[in-house]
Amino acid sequence: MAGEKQNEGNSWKSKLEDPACLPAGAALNKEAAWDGLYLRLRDKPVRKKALWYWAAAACFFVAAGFLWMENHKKEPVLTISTAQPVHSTIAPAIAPAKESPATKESPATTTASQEAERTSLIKNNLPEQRSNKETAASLSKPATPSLPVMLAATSPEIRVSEPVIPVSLDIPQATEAPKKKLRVVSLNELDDPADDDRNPGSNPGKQHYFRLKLMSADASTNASTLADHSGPGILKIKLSPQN
Amino acid sequence: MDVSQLVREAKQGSAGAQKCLFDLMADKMLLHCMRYVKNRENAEELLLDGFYKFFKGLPGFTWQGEAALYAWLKKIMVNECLMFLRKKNVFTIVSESVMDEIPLDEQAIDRLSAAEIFEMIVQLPTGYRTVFNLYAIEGMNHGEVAALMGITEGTSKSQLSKARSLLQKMLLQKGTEYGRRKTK
Repeated sequence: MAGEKQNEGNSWKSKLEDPACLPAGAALNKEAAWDGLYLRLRDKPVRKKALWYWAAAACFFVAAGFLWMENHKKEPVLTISTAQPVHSTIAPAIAPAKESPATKESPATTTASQEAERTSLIKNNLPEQRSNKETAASLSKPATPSLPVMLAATSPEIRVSEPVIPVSLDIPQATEAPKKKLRVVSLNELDDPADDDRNPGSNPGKQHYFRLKLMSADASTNASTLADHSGPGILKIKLSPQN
Repeated sequence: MDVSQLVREAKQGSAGAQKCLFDLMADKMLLHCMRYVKNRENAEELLLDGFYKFFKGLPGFTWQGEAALYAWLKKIMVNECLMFLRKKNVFTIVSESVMDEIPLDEQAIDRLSAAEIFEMIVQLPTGYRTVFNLYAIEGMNHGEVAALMGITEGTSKSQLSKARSLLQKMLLQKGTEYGRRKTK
């Protein structure tokens, strides 16, 4: 009985499968429909969206790159590495520019490098001259503050920060100039200035001599004593013209 | 030609076999689509979309008999129709209290012709019609219907009750007309 009802129930449903129940005029034009379907099946999918995405991405990258360039042009940041000795990086670049007018803008930097070289030469060439400690101390005494402070004072754009990337101050004309050496001469090597005065041709290097006379305060008032260069208490220092 | 052979050739890309399959099943599928979508043009468009997906997915289909092929194609068509209706937001049905189950006089329906049954179903509002199609004709339960339509089971039940009551009224009207026709 239940099976019969089920069959009856299914009978009206199966009627709905019959294409005859389509309303008049609703019949499908199979040929036309197939033509349309066939064209769709044979067509390759066109990726229109992908083109737009690529164009948009390219525009974005161009804009981002332009902005990045603009930002980095405005604020150049120089970092000096402490991994390498700072003097060796900067001193050759600045020392030869002593005569040039550009050194007038940053005299502190040049003096610092000169001081460094001078002290090293004194230590190397005059190990035995312990008696002239005062003279060496006066030469090696730093007359200027430390290098980072000087850099900060001379050029406010240059930041001396904790080093990450080693960047050297690269001044092309300065690096090409030859390195000039200082020479400190001991007292024993000095000639008698009186000989130089008598024979000007005997000093081809045109070395200049500065004479210091160690005397008491009373004697200093005597002008006639100052004029005497041949006294035994005269300290003579020979300096090269580059110094 | 045998359907299994047609399917085998269609899998290999034979346009002739594909056309034979289309001719064989297009009318039935159009009828399915028109039960869900009233409009004839929309139904035909959905039919072509469904067949396009069918032929594209055919290489992955394993032959298990003609019934399985037919069921698979029918499922594709139903999904296409439901997607179309969902896009049109016709399923924004307000949840209503579940009405008492109104039994449908199936014997009375059985006495009607296929065209009359089809006409009655198509006259139902979209929500009622969809639930009725899925539940009463496709044989789904309320849970499946609710999941497909994005509604609650209670809403599905209430929609079905209302669909049945409307059909009952139509049947009565038809019966009266039928009686009048008989008496005349």
